[in-house]
This record gives sequence, structure tokens and C-alpha cells, in this order.
Amino acid sequence: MAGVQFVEISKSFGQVQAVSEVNVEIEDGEFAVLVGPSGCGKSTLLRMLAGLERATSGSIKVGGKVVDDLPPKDRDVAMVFQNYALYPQKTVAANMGFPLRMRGAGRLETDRRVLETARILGLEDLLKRYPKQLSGGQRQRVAMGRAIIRNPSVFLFDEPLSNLDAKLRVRMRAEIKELQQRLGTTTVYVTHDQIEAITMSDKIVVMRNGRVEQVGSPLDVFDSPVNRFVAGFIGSPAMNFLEGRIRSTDDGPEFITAGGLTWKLPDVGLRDLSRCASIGMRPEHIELAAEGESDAFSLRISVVEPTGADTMIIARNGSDELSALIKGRHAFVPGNSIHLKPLLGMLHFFARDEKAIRT
Amino acid sequence: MNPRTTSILASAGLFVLTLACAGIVFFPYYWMIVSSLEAASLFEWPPRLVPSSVTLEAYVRIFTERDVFTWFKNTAFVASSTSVFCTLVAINGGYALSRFRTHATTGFSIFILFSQLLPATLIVVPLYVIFRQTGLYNSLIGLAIADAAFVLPLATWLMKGFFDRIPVEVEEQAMVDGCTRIGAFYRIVLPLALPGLVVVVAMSFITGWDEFFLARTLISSQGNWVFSVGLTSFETQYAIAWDEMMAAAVVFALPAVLFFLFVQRYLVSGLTSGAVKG
Ligand SMILES: Nc1ncnc2c1ncn2[C@@H]1O[C@H](COP(=O)(O)OP(=O)(O)OP(=O)(O)O)[C@@H](O)[C@H]1O
Ligand SMILES: [Mg+2]
Repeated sequence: MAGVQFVEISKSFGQVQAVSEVNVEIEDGEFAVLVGPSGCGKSTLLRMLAGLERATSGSIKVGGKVVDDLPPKDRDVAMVFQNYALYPQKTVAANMGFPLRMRGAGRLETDRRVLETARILGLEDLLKRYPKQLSGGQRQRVAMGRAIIRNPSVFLFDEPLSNLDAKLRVRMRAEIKELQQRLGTTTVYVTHDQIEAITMSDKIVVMRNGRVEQVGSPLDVFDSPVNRFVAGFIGSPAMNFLEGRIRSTDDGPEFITAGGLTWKLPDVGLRDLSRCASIGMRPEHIELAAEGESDAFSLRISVVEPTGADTMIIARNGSDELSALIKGRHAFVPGNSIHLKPLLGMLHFFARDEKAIRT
Repeated sequence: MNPRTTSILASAGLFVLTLACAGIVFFPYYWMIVSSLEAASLFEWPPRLVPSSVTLEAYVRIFTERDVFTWFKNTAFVASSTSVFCTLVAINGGYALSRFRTHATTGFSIFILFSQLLPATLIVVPLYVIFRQTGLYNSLIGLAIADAAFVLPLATWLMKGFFDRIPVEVEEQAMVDGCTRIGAFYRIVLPLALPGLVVVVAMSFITGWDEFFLARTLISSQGNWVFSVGLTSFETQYAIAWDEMMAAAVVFALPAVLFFLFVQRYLVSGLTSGAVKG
């Protein structure tokens, strides 16, 4: 068991700066998720931890020990690749046993542990098959088995679920998390799916363009994103942003949206509101308001999407657009006007440089 | 005509065509065998396809009066050495060209492909000079090196194509699982490239087996003759011993045929799977 530390890690491929000055600490036993849009450097960071890629500068520690000069085999990490990378010429049993054999375990010992691991993952009946005779989900499990069999200090996953169908993905998500909790092994998990990130992690590392934007617990990142990027990236459906500017009046400040709505800002206890250039609100934090209510927006409904339990609507006013998740079923008609108000405690304010404005 | 009849006719036509092609390909071999068994009929007109009398005299004579055993031994040595050299260099070179992509390696890949375009006649004189100076002239090892050099460009490209099709993750996985880079190559990657390996082994072996031009130029003493050179010795100033030459040709061709029968299963899958990409 061991924690992981990235210290000022940078990596460039020729002109491309894939990772810039990343400083992240992952505690022993923690489930950390690296999340961010495609090309932000998640895989590169993971591969540097595995030893498959050499950092341009900076240092990586596993269990407090610098591993920069160690080859992958000596880092005591196990990895699951996106395409599972099973050895096509080996049976399931030989695939799972391979890391043990490479570490000098005897045949009997290996067989015993392969069987034990296969039992944990429900693979007993597949041990004699070859990878091409397995379904996607089974392959995924074999790859997991090969990773957990030798009790490594750290598990590394690079988008392990992205090749599975939606249902299986949800199930494997839970399975991986449960397994990790049971084994208590430090885990670094890469995904571009923010739902996976929130549901699985103890710690989220949000990345963009090779930089770490925010590190925190999933709820922390969800509730207090440090900037507009994180706010928009984490959460589904995505956060709404109203662009605009603040105008002071005798009654207190007003927010004038780009689409021309004027909204009297409620007192949310922020001192520095004059810098505010956009307001963010999550669709689930918007509710119906009566006509003429002072802190409501009036917009025109453009799309109605019943989700079964709730109703999602997208409403517009000029260039302003809000999507709102309204509890229950409603017979909204596109084209009609609607009054919506945000939950005041749930607003996010962002300055022109996209940073969140905090108290 | 209804579609069923059409398709039967088409199949029949195709069958006849295939048979004709096979006949054209196999006839020289048939003629070679027939001629080795009965010399007299070779120049008769009209030609007789079925020999009237069969005798193994020519075979007895080549084994007793000629150095067939020596040629055979030399050829086998040259062919296997060519195969070993070529395979060793091609798997390592092909792997490097496939995995270590830089401007230099890409340029080199194209360069070796160009070298394949040069005819052997162009290279044989410098090769002769170099071999004389380095003492490789008139040695079987030298001949094997020269043969290997001629197969290598193609062999390296073939191996590169096979390595290109093996996902690099499998290899990285092996390294995380406890192999060194070399270990991952030999334990995981090379077995996956086995069809390619068989193609290269077969190609270089056959080249070393039946190559004539280099053997003629780079070998001087009779004791070092390989089979292809030996075959020409049946043609003397005054006569050509056709039946003996054909008998020797049969003996010469036999191991190659057996070898191909043995590897053809891999060869077909290897050649076609290489054709998918690269
Ligand atoms: N071997 C390489 N050579 C050159 N550039 C590379 C290499 N590997 C990655 N990059 C570049 O580095 C950047 C980060 O790549 P990386 O694979 O880490 O992204 P990612 O976050 O994993 O994206 P995805 O979600 O699509 O997998 C990208 O701009 C990519 O083009
Ligand atoms: Mg990636």
C-alpha cells in the first residue's frame, strides 16, 4: 500500500506540452480519478506514473519513494488499459497468471491464486478460453483480474469502461468501486466521463490542457468549482451560464444579461460582485416561479424533454439560454413563455477571467 | 438461362480455368521428372507425354559420379545460414522501425525499400571487391551473408508490417506485468508476429537455397559449389547430360517442396494477414 505524489510534473512531446507542472497528492488507499476533456493529458500523466513515459521534468513518488528512474516492472503498479491489452495467445488463466510468473511464483502457487482471483470476479468457467472467445465485459474482468492478482501498491486504470455498453458500464463502475474498497488499494483512474468521476472517486483531479484545474472530493468540486471550466465540466446535465454585467442602482446591484434581461441580484453575501461577468446555475437548481416574482426570469420555452420522472426544459431569451430540470411531469408547450427562478444559495458567480468569485 | 444454371456454368468455367493454370504451372515440373527418368525421348517429335521405359540410371550416376552430396550439404548450410542471419536482423530491424518512430527511422524505412529496387548485377561487383578484401570470397558464410543482404530489405519491411499490427499496449502491459522491454518483445510480441516470422524464415531460406548469380560470382572452388552452380556443370563444351541434369534438378527441388509443404499453412495466413495493413 502506498500513496502517490506528483511533484511539478511536466511532459512535452516535441512542441506539444501534454502535461504542465502538475502537483497532486493521492493518499494511501484513495480512489483518485483524473478527469478532463480529450487530449488534456490524463493518459500521459497515468503513463508517467506507470513508467511507460518519462517526465520532461518533475518527480513522481510512490509510497514516499522516488520512482523516476525505475522501469515499469519495478514500480509495483498494475494497469488496465482501455482496450484491455489481453495477451491474445494466452488463455484467461495464463493471462491472469502472467504477472505472478514474471515475479517468480511457482506453477502451483500461480494456479492457486488464479483460481482464487477468478472466483472473486466470477471467471472460474472461462479460465481455459482465449481472449477472442470472450465478450467485452468478460475481457474487462480478466484485465481486472490480471491487475489485482499480485496485490500491487497502486492500480492504474485508463478509461477501462469506455468500450462497454451503457448498462454494463454502470454495473462495472459499481463493481470496480466495491473491489477497490474491499482491497483498499490506492487507485488512479482516468476517465473523460464526469459521471464516472463523481460516482467512483474519493478525490477528483480535473484537468484541462495539461494543467490541473481543481483537486478535491467529488462533492466539493461539484459544489464549489474554482472556475467556469470545472463548473461546466462537472455535473450532468451541465451547468447553465448567463453572460452579462453588473449595474449598480439605488436598490442595489442588478445583473443585465447579454440577452437583455435585467435581474435584481439577491443578497448572497458576496463582497466582490462588481467583477461578475457570468452567473452559473445548475439545471436541477432552477424551479418554476409565478409571474411577476422579483427574482424570476421570464423566457420562452424552446424544447421540452420528459425524462420519465422529471421534465427537462430548455428556454431562451435572445442569446440567454437556460436548461432546467423541473421535478415531476408537466405539460409545457414549446413557444409559450415560462418563469424560472434559481435557488439562491446554489448560484455560482464568475469573473471575466473565468475564476469563481468567492466570499 | 436461369440464375442457377448460370452459377453452375460459372463454377465449371472457373474450375476449368484453374485446372488450365495449374497445368501450365506444373507441366515443366512434370517434364523435368519425366526427362530424368528417360533421356532418349526428350527431343522426340511428336513429344511423348508418358515415358515408354523408366530407369533410375541417371539418379544412380549423379550420386556416384558427381559431387551431389557436397552440393547438397553446401546448399543446406548456405540456405540455413541465410535464413538465420536474415531472420535475426529482420525481426530486430523491423521492430525498431515499427516502434521507434523518428524522422531518421522513417527515412531509413524508405531508403531500404529503395535499395530493393537495385538489381543484383549492380551490386555484385562492389560486393566481389569487398569480399576479396575481407576474406569472405569463396566462403559459404560469405555467400550466406550476401544472400541475406538481398532478402533483408523486403524481410525487414514485412516484419515491420507485422509489428505495426500488434497493439503497443500489449507490450506495455507486459512491461507493467514484470517484463523488461526485451522480455516483453520475446515473450509477448514475437509470438504474436509468428506468421510474419515464418514468412521471413521461408523466404530467406528459399532464396539461400536457389540463388545462382551470387553463388556463381562469389564462390570459386568446386568444393564450395552450391547446387544451383553444380547444376550448370552438366553442360560441358561438347554435350549436355540432360537426364542427369534433370535428375539433379529433381533432387534439388525436393527439399524446397517439402519445406513449403511444411510451412504453407503458416505462410498463407501470414501473407494474407500481412496484406491487411502495411
Ligand atoms: N506519443 C505522443 N507523441 C506526441 N504527442 C502525444 C503523444 N501522446 C500524447 N500526445 C499529446 O499529448 C496530449 C495529451 O494526450 P493524452 O493522451 O494524455 O490525452 P488524454 O487526456 O488521455 O485524452 P483522451 O481522453 O482522448 O484519451 C495530446 O495533445 C496528445 O496529442
Ligand atoms: Mg487517454
